[in-house]
Amino acid sequence: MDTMLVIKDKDGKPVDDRFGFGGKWDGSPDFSLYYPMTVRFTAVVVAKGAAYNPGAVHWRMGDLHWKDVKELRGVIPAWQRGQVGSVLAAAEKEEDPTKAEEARKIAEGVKAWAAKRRKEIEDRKLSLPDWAPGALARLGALLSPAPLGKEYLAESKEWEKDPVVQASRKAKALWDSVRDALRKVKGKGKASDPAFAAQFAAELRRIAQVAGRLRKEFPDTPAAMDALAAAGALGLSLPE
Amino acid sequence: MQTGSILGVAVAVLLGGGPTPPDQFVLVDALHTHDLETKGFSYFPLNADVPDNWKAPLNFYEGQIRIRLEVISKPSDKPVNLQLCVFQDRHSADKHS
Repeated sequence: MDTMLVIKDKDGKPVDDRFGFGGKWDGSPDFSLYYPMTVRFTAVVVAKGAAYNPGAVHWRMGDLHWKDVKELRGVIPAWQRGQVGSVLAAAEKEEDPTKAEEARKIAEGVKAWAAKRRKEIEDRKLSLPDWAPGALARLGALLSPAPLGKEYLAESKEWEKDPVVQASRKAKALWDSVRDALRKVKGKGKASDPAFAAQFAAELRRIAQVAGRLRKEFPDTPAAMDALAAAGALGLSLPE
Repeated sequence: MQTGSILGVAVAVLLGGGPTPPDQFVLVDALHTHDLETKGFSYFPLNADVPDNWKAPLNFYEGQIRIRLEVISKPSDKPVNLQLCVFQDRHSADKHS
């Protein structure tokens, strides 16, 4: 069995140039209208007659599942409701030696799962600076009242204040402001071609200005690197 | 950048056979970037909880599928639709069973 997600345009045509779809979707062949597109996608299958439980998305965390719990059965109701922080807090506080081994396994498993989620977010901290701090805060809230939840919440606030994140945010907004201009010229020619340069003079000037600002004001941000690559491909000279 | 746009969902579910006690399971839960490598088609590994048999002992085949899509970032205002496909080729060599 396989699971596949298909991205389609407004008319339901797959945004792809394979399998005969090239030229059929809105905006074809300009993939920059759609990609890169980052999504969080969740699908839960519910048996006939059963009521959907929003907490089911957390029934499995890594190798852990509430149905496998043998000793620490007190955590199962919270786990079934998706209250991950309550499960972790209870496992960390367990003092009954007959339950200690399972409690340790659950605590370590939830923490490993949380660390993986945190890493997913951190990996996008600079490329998606408007999203990442809030995503970490939501993970922190999910893990509360366990200490790890508070730790992530505090870290999300630090991310919000982080000058590197703020610079990435400003750089991304600046680069986004010329995306329409970039789309008009990308892959269509070089600034060294007089006819191309004349036809798209306004767009090329604006892109060069923004790329120059990004290089100067926000170096090393993902947006600046995208801008410099685009400017290079267009053969643009950037203002100092 | 567009945030939180969900303009359409189409679902195709074709299934196959093994018991599973819980009455729901996560089919996909992914943070994913569609790019020029994936283009329109992205594949996801099955979660450990996906049963072999979707008809017994619990009837997932005639159940429901709950989908949530958060578009975190995309480069234009173009509306998009999403299609989720669940299929299997194991018992049919030249077409989806």
